Amino acid sequence: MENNSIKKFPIGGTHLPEEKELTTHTPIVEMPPPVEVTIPLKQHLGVPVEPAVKVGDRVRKGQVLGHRAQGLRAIVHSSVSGEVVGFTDAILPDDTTVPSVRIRTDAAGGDEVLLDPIDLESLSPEDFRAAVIKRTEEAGIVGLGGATFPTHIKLGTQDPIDTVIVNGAECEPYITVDDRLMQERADDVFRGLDIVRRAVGAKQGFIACEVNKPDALKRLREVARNYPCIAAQALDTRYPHGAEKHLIKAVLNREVPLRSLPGSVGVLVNNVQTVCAIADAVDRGRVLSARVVTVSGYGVTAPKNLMIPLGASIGDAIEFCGGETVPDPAVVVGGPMTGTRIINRSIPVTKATSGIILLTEEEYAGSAYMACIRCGKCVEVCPMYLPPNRMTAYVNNDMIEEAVGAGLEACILCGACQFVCPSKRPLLEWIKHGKAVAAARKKR
Amino acid sequence: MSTNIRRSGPHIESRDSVRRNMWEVSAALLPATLAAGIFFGPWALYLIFASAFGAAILERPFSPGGFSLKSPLGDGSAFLAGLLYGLTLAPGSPWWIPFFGAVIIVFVAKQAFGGIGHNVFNPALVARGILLLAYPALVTEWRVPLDYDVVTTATPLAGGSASYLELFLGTVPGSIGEVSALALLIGAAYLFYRGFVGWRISVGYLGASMVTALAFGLDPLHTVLAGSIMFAALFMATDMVTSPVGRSARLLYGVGCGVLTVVIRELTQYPEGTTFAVLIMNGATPLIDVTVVDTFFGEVTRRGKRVAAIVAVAAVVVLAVAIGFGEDALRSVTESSVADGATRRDLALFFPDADGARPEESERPGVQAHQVYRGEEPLGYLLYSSQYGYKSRIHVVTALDTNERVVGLRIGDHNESATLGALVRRPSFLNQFLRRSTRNPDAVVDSLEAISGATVSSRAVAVALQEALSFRVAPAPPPGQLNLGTDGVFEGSATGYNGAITVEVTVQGGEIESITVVSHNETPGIGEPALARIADAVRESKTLDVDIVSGATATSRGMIGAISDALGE
Repeated sequence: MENNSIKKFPIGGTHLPEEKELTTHTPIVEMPPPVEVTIPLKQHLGVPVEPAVKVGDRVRKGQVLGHRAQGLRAIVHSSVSGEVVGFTDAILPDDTTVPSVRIRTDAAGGDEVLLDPIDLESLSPEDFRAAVIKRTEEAGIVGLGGATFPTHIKLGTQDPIDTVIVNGAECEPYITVDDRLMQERADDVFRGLDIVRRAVGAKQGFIACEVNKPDALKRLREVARNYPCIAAQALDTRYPHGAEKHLIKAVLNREVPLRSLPGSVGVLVNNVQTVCAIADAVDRGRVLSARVVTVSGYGVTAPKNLMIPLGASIGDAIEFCGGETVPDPAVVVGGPMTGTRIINRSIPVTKATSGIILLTEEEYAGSAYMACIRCGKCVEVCPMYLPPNRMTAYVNNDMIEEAVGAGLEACILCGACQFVCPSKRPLLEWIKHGKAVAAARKKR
Repeated sequence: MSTNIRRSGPHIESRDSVRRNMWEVSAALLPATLAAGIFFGPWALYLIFASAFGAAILERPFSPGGFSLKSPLGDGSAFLAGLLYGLTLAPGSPWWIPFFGAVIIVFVAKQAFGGIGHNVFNPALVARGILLLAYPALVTEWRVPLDYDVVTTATPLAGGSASYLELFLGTVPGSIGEVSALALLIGAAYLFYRGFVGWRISVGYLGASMVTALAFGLDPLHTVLAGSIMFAALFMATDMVTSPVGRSARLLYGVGCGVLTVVIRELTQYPEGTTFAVLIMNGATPLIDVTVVDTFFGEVTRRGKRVAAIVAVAAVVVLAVAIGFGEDALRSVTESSVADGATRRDLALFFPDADGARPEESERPGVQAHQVYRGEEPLGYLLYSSQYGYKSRIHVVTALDTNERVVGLRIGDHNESATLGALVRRPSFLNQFLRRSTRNPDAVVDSLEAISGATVSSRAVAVALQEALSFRVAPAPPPGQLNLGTDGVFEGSATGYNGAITVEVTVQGGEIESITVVSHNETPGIGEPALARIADAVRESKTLDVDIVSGATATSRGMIGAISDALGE
């Protein structure tokens, strides 16, 4: 479907330094498995799965490591062929620990376990949906934009869905994962979206992409000619276009009510890499055991887009990119806006890891903060129309109830307010603290 | 690396900073500063920069790190406040006024509240407010832009106030930085383009002052161009620290400033309302911030209700204004019928027994006379006259008995402020004119007891009455009537402010057809308008006895001299 319009959400948001040039023309390369991987048994929103292997077992790439759990979960597969050498508690970027399987990689490599490809065209609509949901569950697919919500649950929604949007906004600076995937695997992106669209019975689909990725957009528009119900939708470059509700507002001008899911306005949103993984799982029987990660920033010698086996450490990826350019750069896992700075480089790459950004001192936000001069820029950019200055003033005075009244719980933690603050106040940190206190008091 | 590092994002930051905000706003005031230098000369620049640097240096010891040569002016916030204060000063202020302001800005308005970001009231306006209250003598000078005609001379000027273009460019007397709307708009446009200020406060302010002006029956465009509304709306009310932060809150705050400014102008003794209007709204800012809250993204139903509520309130306000304004318009319609004949109302008021009135010949232009009858018996006269007052024409209705003595007086239509209007309507004022007679009209003005605080309006009433009482006497020909007996084109020249002024006067059939300035070297923006003004005045009055344009005395005299030379006077 042809579509040359450029859209954006109406109020708030800001323009960030993009820094995508570092890696936008760098093809995705496969990182060879390191000597040992530590695969967390929880790489999804929910609870850890129970291990289905024991120490000394030989496992193949793609083999299930764990699938049972009491609650929301996604299946975890091995990303390498090798021997289970132990169990450990891996530390994640947010300082939580999670039970993990340590696997020593076979030097010889080894073959991959594949599922049987599905011939979707032979199925009735009901069977089609059931088959797709079953396959995404078997393949351990979760939302790869960072939220890691299990996709098979998302596809099982009871809400009537009329539109499926693929989120290729990728509004975080530096990161070019979706950018490269849209350039290199546009056919798979459309194929994956079409599978999801038909599975949930939606009549139309969009692939939304910011205009700061012209190559990807051009490629999407070419492929869109082959799909009558799917259009490429260009978006203005504005942070946070990748936030689900704002993406929907921009593309369809529908506003998802507070505390509701996109299903309530008939929309399902998936990440670019997620639909690629769905296409892989359905057509080629491949499970999700590796993901594309952008290793970038001026602190890394050779910025790259890497296909990294899950469980390889952050340090492995940095080493593969030639190490750092300056002593002790700030290592950020995720994007520079919402990501977390880490010290311990043994943290494993998981399904949630979209970027590893090494920031030099000049790039890093290190200014000391000053008094608020009430310039109102935080309010201006807040995509949720909240007053971050007032919320944080309440939080800092332990007036949590008032902070909640001012919109604390509606905050999506995009960090735009803190980015623009001329007084360099750590607003997001204070908001996160306030949210934590509010949640704790609610429990009590 | 420090062990206490920040873990959560954002890990990048914008290049924006407090310092940058302050200096960008200061830079945006550059056009206004330049205009001040051009219009008012080096003393104005001294006033501006002494205020700005004075405040910046005074505040330096309070900034973190104390005084340092590396950044001698600190974060720029005191500099900006001083700059704003300096621009509001009258061009003839004494040398110490900038330092008076700097001390107030730094010690009273800023540091007493806890320094940058903590002050409740706009520091520049606190200083200006204290100056207004402490040295009211300077206030009269600030009246100049509003009351151009009054200050130059008490004669009724055709189009008594400056033209829109003059106000827009700033070629009128006034506070040094406030006169040129153009220069202010250039600066504000720059700030808006660079994203340092939003539009809501300024648009709310200007819009609300225009609407309020309409409700008071004033010219909305003149209201916002004259005086300091433009400056206040673009630079004073938008001060970040002392204005609200939310979108609706900012709009409401701007509207509050606009309404209050015009209300203070019209209903109080202060001719200029911006200072106190903005200070009052500064005080209301914390309340506005917490009560006028925008709906969140996704609060679809609440937003609908809110829109409905706002529409309802707006409808009520519009209705109220329409009713108020409509009544006003209605009243001016009845009053304007005065020109055609004595109104029933005046007959009923002064001559309850009368059957009717007939127009009577009047020797005075601008005075209408009517003889009042019952049957064939004359009862007296009704006279209608008017005179230019404080800022509008005041209409006076006079009733005479058969002895041609004043038996009644009524103040009709006027656009003076409500206070002034009420003052000249007081019986205690009007009673002094009773028994005045047509035999000695000049006594009215000679023995006038003017109301203090409303001298100009009082005098206007007296002059109007004097004119009315002189309705039988043709006005004496003004002195200096030009001899226009010979048709032709005459050239003449005389020395102006800056060299010779040469004019060409065309006389045709006893009228001056045109006065063309052939060459001159006067100051653009000051001298040039004066040339045109003098030419118009001479052409219309056919005399050389015309008012000198204030601020361009030498130019005016030169122009009159040149015309005189041409006509061989």
